[in-house]
Parts: sequence; C-alpha cells; structure tokens
Amino acid sequence: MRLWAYTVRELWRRPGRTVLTVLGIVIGVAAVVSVSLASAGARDAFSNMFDQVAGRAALEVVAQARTPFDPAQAQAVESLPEVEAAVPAISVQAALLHGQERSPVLVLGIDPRVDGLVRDYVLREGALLSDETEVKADDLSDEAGAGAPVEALLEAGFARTLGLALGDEARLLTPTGLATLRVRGLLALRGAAVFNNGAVVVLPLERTQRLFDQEGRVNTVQLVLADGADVVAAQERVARVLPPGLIVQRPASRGGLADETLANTELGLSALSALALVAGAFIILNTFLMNVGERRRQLAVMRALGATRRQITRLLLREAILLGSGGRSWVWPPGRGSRRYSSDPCRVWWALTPPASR
Amino acid sequence: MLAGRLEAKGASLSVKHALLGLLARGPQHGYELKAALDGELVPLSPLNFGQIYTTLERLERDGLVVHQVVAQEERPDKKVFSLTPQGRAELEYWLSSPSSLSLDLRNETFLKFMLAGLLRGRVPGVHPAAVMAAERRAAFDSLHEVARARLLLDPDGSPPEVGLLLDLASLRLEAFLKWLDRCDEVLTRGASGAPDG
Amino acid sequence: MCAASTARPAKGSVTPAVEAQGLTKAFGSGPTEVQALRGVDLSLRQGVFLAVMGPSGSGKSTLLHLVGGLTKPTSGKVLVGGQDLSALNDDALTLLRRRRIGFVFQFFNLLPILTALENVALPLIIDGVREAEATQRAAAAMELVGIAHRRGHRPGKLSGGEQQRVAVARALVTEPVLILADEPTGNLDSTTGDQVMALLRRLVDERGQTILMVTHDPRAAAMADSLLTLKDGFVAHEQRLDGGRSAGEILRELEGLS
Repeated sequence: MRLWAYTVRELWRRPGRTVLTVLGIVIGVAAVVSVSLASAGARDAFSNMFDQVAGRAALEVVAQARTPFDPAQAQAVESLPEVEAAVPAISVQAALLHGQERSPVLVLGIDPRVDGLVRDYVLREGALLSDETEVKADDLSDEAGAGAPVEALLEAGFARTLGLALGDEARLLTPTGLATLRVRGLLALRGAAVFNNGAVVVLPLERTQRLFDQEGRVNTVQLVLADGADVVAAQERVARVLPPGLIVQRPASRGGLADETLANTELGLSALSALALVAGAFIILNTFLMNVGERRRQLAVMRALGATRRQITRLLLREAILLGSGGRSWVWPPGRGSRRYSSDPCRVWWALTPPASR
Repeated sequence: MLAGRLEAKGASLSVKHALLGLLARGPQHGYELKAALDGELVPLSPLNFGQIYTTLERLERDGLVVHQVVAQEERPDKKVFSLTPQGRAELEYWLSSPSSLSLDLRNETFLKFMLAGLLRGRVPGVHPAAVMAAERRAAFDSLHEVARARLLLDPDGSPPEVGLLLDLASLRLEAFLKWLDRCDEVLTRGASGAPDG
Repeated sequence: MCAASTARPAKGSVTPAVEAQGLTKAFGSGPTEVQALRGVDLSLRQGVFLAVMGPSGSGKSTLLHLVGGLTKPTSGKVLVGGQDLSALNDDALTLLRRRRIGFVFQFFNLLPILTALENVALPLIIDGVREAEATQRAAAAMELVGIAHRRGHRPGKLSGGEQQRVAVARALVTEPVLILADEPTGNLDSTTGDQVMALLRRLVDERGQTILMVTHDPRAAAMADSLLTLKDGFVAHEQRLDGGRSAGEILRELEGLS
C-alpha cells in the first residue's frame, strides 16, 4: 500500500525516536527472553541433576519417616512382573578429612553390581567399584579387614580441591570413628557425581552401612520397571505389597534436601521471570504509549482525512512489526548466548550458588 | 454609503481642518482639494462639492484662507486658495490636540433596547429581543460590506492605509456585536430570573 | 426552518451540497444527558459560503461533526451531495469523507513529519492515488492558494498563516463537494486571519466551492454569504449577508477612490 511507504518516512525522519523505540523493545524483550531462557535452563539443569542422581528409576521405595529401613521389607516388590530390578542405596552426611582440609560430603553407598541400572558413573581416571570391593568387606570381623581402606569414588574436581589424586588415602569421619578411604576412581561431574555439588563420596553399600552403623539398612530402593510397564499402575501394585511405614513414590519427589533446593530455586526463578516479564512489558508498553500518544492526533487527523480504521490499524501493525523485528534481531545474540549458557547445568549451578558457599 | 450607520454617527468629521491641512502643502483650487480629500483623507465616503465650497467660504470669512482668481483661456476662471498665518496656527493647534472621542452615552440602540423593554406587552409586536435581532442583522450586513470592501481593495486581504480605515469600521462593528451579545445575556437572565412584568 | 440559501446562482447541479433535516444530537443519557442539538434544518446550495456562529456549547461544533460524518446524529439526517450519511457504514462514511469533504481545522493539524507538499498530497495517497500523480495535483492545489514556494518545508518551519494555507490546499486537493472549516482563524492574528478568509472567499467566488465554517469570530463570519447563529442547540438567527448589494455595486462605489 502506498500509504505505508508514505508514512514510514516518519521512522527515518525521526531517527532519534525510532532508535529509542527500538531500544525500548530491545531492552524489554531482552529482559524477558534472557531471564526466561536462564530460568528454563536452570530448571532443566536442576531437573537433569536430580534425574541423574535419582537415575533412571521410575519409582522408589522410601520410609515414610524418611529414615533408613531394611530393604528386605521391600523384597516383595522384586517379584512383581512390572519390576525389572530393585536397587538399594544409602546416603548419609559425613566429613572428609585430608591434611588440613575438612569437607562435608554426602556419602552414597551403592551396590556396584546393580547400581549402574539407575545411575551413571562416568570415569575420568582409575576404576569403578566392583564386586571385589564388596567382597573385601565380607571378612570385616577381623581387624585387618575392618582397618583396610575403603575403596571410594570421588568427583574429579572435588578431589582436586582437596588435593587428592588417584590412589591417595583420606579419612572419613563416621559415627563409628575414622575410616580410611582410598581413591579408586575419579568421576566426571555427571550422573551420580553431580549430587551435592560434586562433594560426593561413593562407597560400596555394605561398607557404608557398617561405617555408619546402619547394617542392613538403606534410604531408598529404586525400582527399574519392565519395558512398557505403566508407571501409575506399577506404583499402585508396589504400594499394595509394601508393609506399613514404607511408601512408593515417583523419584520426581526426591529426598528432603533435593525437594527443598528445587523448591527454593524454582521460587526464585519464578519471581525473577515474573519481574523481568513485568519490567519488559512495562518498558515496551511505555515506549509504545509514548509513541502512539505523540501521534494520537496525527492518527485522528488521518481518520478525518479519510483513512479507514483498517488502514490505520494496518499502518501501526506494520510499523510495530518493523520496529519489533528490528529490536528482536538485536536481542537474538544475547538470547542465544544465555541459552547456551543455561544449557550447561554446572555453569548455571555455579551462577546461582552464592560465592560463599562454593 | 459604505458603513452608512457609522458615517451618520461620525458626522463630526472636520472638513474644515482637512482643507486647512491640504492647503498647508501649497495653494490649490477646489477640484484639486476634492480629489485629494476623496483619494487620501476620506477615501471611502466621498464629500460633495457643495459641502467643500461652503466650508471654504466660511474659512475665508474667518480669515483662515484667502483666494485669488486665476484667468484661464476657454474656461471659467478658477479660484486658487491658500493658507493665511492664522489658518496655519489653527491647523497646528488642531493637529496637536486630541480628537474628541464621543463616549456615545446618548446611544440610540440602547434607547431602543430600553424602550422596547418598557413597552413590551403594551404595544403589540414590540420586544427587546426583536430590536436586538434587527440591530444584529444590520451590524452583520455592515461588517460583511466592510469585509467585501477590504477584499476588493486587495484580493489577498491586506490593503494598505485604506485598510486601516476599514479595520476601524470593522473593529467598531465587532465591538457593537459583542455588546449585543451582552444585551442578549441580560435579556435571557431577566426572562429566567423573574416573571415577565 | 430552511436556512442559508443565497441569491447567488447555483453552480453545477441543483442538488444542495449539504442538507440537514431535524438534526438532533444528545450526549450521555439519563439525568446527565446533554442535548447538543435540538432540531436543526439546513440546506446549503453549491457555491455558497455559510458561517455558523454561536456561543460555546451552542452546538455549532456538533453540527460540523455531524455534517462531516465524524459522529452520527441521535435523530434526523444529513445529506452531503445528495448522499444520506445515515445509510452508510463506517467504511463508506470514511470513503465519503475522503473524497467529498475537505477539512480545515483551527490548529491546522498538519503532520509534522511530512513536507508541506506531502501533507497536501496525503488525502490522495490515502485514496491510493499514485505518488507521482498525487504530488502533481498537490502542487497545483498549493499554487492555487499561493503557497507553492513552501512545498518542501515541514510545517514547523512555516508561519501559522502559511500552515493554514497548506491545510486549505490539503482540503482542496480532492476537489471535494464541501469544505468544512472549524475556527480556521481561531489560531491566527487578525491580519493573517483576514488573508486566510480572503483565500476561502476567493475559492467560493472563483471556483464555486461550497464552504461550511464554524467560527466565533464575527470578522471571519462576515466573509460568508450566509450566517447561521445557534443557541442552545436551536437555530436562533439566520441571515443572508450580501444585503441585496452585489459585489459589482460595492466595487463601483469604490472605483477610483484609492
């Protein structure tokens, strides 16, 4: 339409205002886009992280009181056709001592034979835990056995900050006293190693139980379902065979720490997104109101001169699209950048963790 | 005549001083004086010859001008008038004293307005509103003529000095119309405020 | 009341340029209802210049808006060039406004971003006329109102009188049946106002343009052929202004004077 070509002169005859308008859109859109991308990224990262810790298990059995329990109580579930495998694990807080360093860690006791079904271990150096690490623990009754170093896996970065290398020994402060660990393998910051920001010590299950005076107990039994099994139906079946005090849940609702972390982060991100949305919308609205307000009379004059509502609407829309796409092309690079940034869980983790707690 | 109403009210124009002023430029005869009056000094309301000669005779009688007869071939002799010292003194005195602006406190329209109010209801067909409407109609007619005259003198709407005279006429008429609005307001207020007497 | 016809011979067809019958307009409703117009009849022949006067709130602006199709009457009807406005939908009304009515406003209402020439061409551009042709016609209209030398200037660089001339050229450019002028001298000094009024008068005398002008300035109103005074939504007074004397008579009277 010729009218459009005629009035678009407005845009380049007032470059200052046009740039301001575009800038307003840029800032507004950039705020919303980057924050929502960062939020989505962080949410993904958290979700991935906990998924990696919880692993590929579809369901998990825990005690209602969140206390350790005897996995034998849940033995019945293994016979259900829906359940492919039941993987027990125990997690406890402890402190790792090495030289002058003392670091709180999460000790994860796993059954090396089956844990690979639900969690990933990506080895950087050394070896994974194996049956034999557990076999060694069989004769714990003798002094030598009890005093023998426990084979452990550590996250590589975490080990480095403590100055621990492959084969080094460290001490673990447990309720039963100091235990000696030997670094058997260093893990990449993936899978199980992601938990607790990498401050994880992965030990064989039975040794862990003994060290922490929890013989025969676990925190969780993770269930891997048979191919094609319906999760909801399986959950009901499992719940029916469980004794009182034990519940079956989706790993989405994880241990208290995870839940809390996730909820807090989610809240913060939501607030941030909402704020950015409001701020962005406000900036854009303001810019447009300024623009339209100034031209209200002009538009009224054009109406009086015989421009139809449709012509005016189309005019404004085309201008908005032009300005908007101009603005968006500016926004796109930072938007993409934040996407890349946020898609790396560690970096978001680092970005969102206050420096003091790092 | 153009703006006839104003002319009637402004009849005090001093033809006497206009003639003294023209003669101050040098001796002139009657025709020349009339042409100068019509062309420059009283451009929109021509005076007749009788008026001019009567005034010249009176000026001569008072000793303000003198004349001498100049013989012409094949034509009647013509009288050429010139200013006396007394005439010059009178002209200077007149120029330096302000014109007498009438306050117009014996205003005719006001008189009609008041009388119509008094006679309303007693004499059939008399109503102050009708009087004012007629005045308004006449004032607008005059204003229209002034406007057309301005346009004829200069199609672009900005005539030179003569325009000033038209402006004066126009502004007086505009003031008069504004005053008629005031009269209307008073009438309306009286009609709504108190019952008719 | 049948108002505002003059002795001037009609130019073009005998259809009145504007007719209004029993026009009323109320704003609001219930106890706050305001009757802006209470039954106005009007018949304006082509080639006639009508001035509508009245105090503020008398309904004169409402009348202008109704005639211009900018608002719809509560009752009664308006015909412009024989076309009943009430029979038209919004788009058709807009089209009529675009092609058959020219507007001149008190505050000129030129688009500041366009040059004088572009402003004048705008109604044609809105109508989809090719730019080359629109520019040519706009230049002709500017020539007609004596502002052609300012064609490349933006309105901000023009005096009030020049802006109003540009606005008049814009109103003329579509060769409308009717020009509606809303206080065209309201924002001008009296000399400049006289010049704009002289221009409007010339359009009527030389081109047979029909003009309906709303004003509260008697000096401007006196330039018209007819005068309609509104009061409280009624026609209070109407008058033909040529006073029975033709322009020729006035001219003869003035001949040889200056």
